[in-house]
Amino acid sequence: MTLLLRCVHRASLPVWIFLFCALAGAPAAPSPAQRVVSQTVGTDDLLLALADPAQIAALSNFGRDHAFSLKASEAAAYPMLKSSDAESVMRFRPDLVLVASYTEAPTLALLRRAGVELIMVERFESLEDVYANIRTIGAALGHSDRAEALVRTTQRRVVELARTLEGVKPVRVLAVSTYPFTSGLHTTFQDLCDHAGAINVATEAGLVGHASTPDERLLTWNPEQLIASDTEGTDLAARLRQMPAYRHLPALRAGRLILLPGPLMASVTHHRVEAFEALARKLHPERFP
Amino acid sequence: MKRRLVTWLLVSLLPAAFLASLALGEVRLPLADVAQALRGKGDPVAVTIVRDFRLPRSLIGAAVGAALAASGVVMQAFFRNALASPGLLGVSSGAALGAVSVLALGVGHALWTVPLAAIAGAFVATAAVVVFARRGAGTERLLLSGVALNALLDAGTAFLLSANAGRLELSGQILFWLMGGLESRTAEHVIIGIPSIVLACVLLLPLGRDLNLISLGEQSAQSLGVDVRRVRRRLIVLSTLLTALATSVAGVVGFVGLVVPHLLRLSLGPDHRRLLPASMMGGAALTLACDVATRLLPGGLRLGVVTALVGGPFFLWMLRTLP
Repeated sequence: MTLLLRCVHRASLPVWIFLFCALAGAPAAPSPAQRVVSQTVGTDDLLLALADPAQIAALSNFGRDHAFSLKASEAAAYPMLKSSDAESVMRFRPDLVLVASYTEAPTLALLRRAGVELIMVERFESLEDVYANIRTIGAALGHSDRAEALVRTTQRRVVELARTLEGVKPVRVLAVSTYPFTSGLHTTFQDLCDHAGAINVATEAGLVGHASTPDERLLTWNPEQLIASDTEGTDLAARLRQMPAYRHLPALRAGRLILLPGPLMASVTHHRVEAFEALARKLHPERFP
Repeated sequence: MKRRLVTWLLVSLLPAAFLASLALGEVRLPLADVAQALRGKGDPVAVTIVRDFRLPRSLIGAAVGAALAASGVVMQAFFRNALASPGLLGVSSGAALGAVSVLALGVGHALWTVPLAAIAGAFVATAAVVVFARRGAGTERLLLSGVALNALLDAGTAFLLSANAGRLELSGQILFWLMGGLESRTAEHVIIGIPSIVLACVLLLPLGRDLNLISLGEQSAQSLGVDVRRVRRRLIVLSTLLTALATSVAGVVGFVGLVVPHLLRLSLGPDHRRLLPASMMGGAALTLACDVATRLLPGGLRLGVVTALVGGPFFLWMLRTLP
C-alpha cells in the first residue's frame, strides 16, 4: 500500500507540472479595463452608460459642454481631457482609450506606441452600428451583461415606437440650418427619419451625406416640416426667413419648424432612440395621447 | 557690443526654449524627471511623454522655425523687399493644397500621407518657380508669378474646403492643418522633416556672402564676380525646399520667416554671414516658445495663431519706429 501510494505520488508530479504549465500557458480572458479615457463625446455616452464610475479615468474635452453632450451634467463628476491630443490622454495613465474614426492619425500612432489599448468607434450611422459599439465597449469594460441589457432596452423602445407609428402617413421633412447644409442618405438624420415616421426630402432628391442645400431645387421639394437643432437659438425661424433658400418655403412661412435638442440630433449612441421618440411625438402627436 | 549681446542671447535662448518645450505641457515635469525620462528611466508615463510625444515635437519645432527664418532671410535679400516671406512664391500654398487634397480624399489617416502629399504639392509649386527662375525671369516677374501661383493654389484649397464643408470633422482637420501646429508629431515627421531641413540649412550657410552681394543688386553682384544665375537658382531651390519641408511637417506657420530676420537685422546688421545662422537660431527659439504658449494658454490656440499674434503687433511696431 505504501509502495502504491509512493508510485501515485511520483507519477503525479509530472502530471501536476503539466497541469500547471497548461494553465499558465492557456489564453486567459482579457481582464477588464480599469482606467478608461474617452476621447469623443459619443464614446463619453457609452462609457457613462456601461462603466463603473471607478473605471472612468477621464471624459472628452467637450464632455461637459451642454451644446454637444447629452450627459454634460453627469460628465461634470469626472475628470476631463484638456484637449484631444496624446499627452492630454496619457496624463490619466489609461489602460484603454476610446477613440473614433476621425481621431487624427498621429494621435492614434502616438497612443499605440505608448502601449495603450485603443477601441475605435468607426461606424455609427445605424442602430446596428450602435449595438455593435455598445457590445465591444461593454466587453472591454467587463460588463457585457450591461451592454446586452442596454441593447435590449434600446431595441424594445425602437419596436414599441414602430408599433405606435404603424400605418401613419410619413411626413416629408428637411433638416435646415443657418449653416447652408442639409442631410441626405447615410446620415444620422436619415436614420432619425426612418424611425420617426418621416421622409427625408433631401434623400428622396438623391442627396448623399451632408451636402450643401440646393437653393433652387429646394422649392420643388416642398417639405411639410423643417427640422433643426435648438443649439442654433430660439430665433432660428427669423434668421432662416432672411435666407433666400428658405424664405419662400411654405413650411417656414407657416411656422412649421421643429427644434430638437442639438446633442440628441447629433447623437451617435443609444440615446438616438430618444431623438426618434421626440421627433415622432412632434410629427404624429395623435399617436401619443 | 550689441552684436555680442544678441549672439549670447540667441545662444542661451535656443537651449532654454528647447528645454522648456521638453519640460512644459499639460503634465508638468521637473527638469530632473525630464533628464531621467530622456534616458528611458523613471516613471514609464513620463518616459512616453518626454521621449515619444515631446521630443519629436521639440525637434520639429526647432527645425521648422530655423527653416522658415532662413527662408525668410533669403527671400528678403533676394527680392530686396522687406515684406518678402517664405510663402511668397507659392510654396506654402502648394504644400497646403497637397495636404488638403489627401485629407479631402479620405486617405489622410495613414501617418505618412499628409506630410508626403504636402511635400509633393510644395515641390510642384517649387518646380513652377524654378522653371520661371531658369528662364531668366527678372526678380519682379518672379514675384508676380509667386502672387499668381499663390492665388491659384489657394483657390484649389478653398474649393476643397468648401466642397467638404458639410463634413465637419474633416473641415476641422483641414482648418487645423491650415493654421499650423506641432501637436502629435511623431518619429515619421522627424524622419521626413529634420534630416532634409538640416542638410538644406548646411548648404545655405556658405551662401551668406553671395546673399550680401545679391542684395546690392544683380548687376553689382555680377560685377563683383558672382555667378548670379547659378546663385539665384541655388538660393531659390534651397529657400523653397526649406519652406516646403517646414510646411509639410507643421502646416502653415506664418510670421516666423517675416519677423525673425527683420528683428535680427536691426540688432546684427545686414551681413548675411551672421544673419543666416542667427535667424536659424532665432526662428527655432521663437517657434519653440510659441509652441510652449499653445500648450499653456487656455483656448486651444494653434501655433500659426500664436506666431501671428506675436509677430503681427511686433511688425506693426517695427514699421512705426523705423525711419
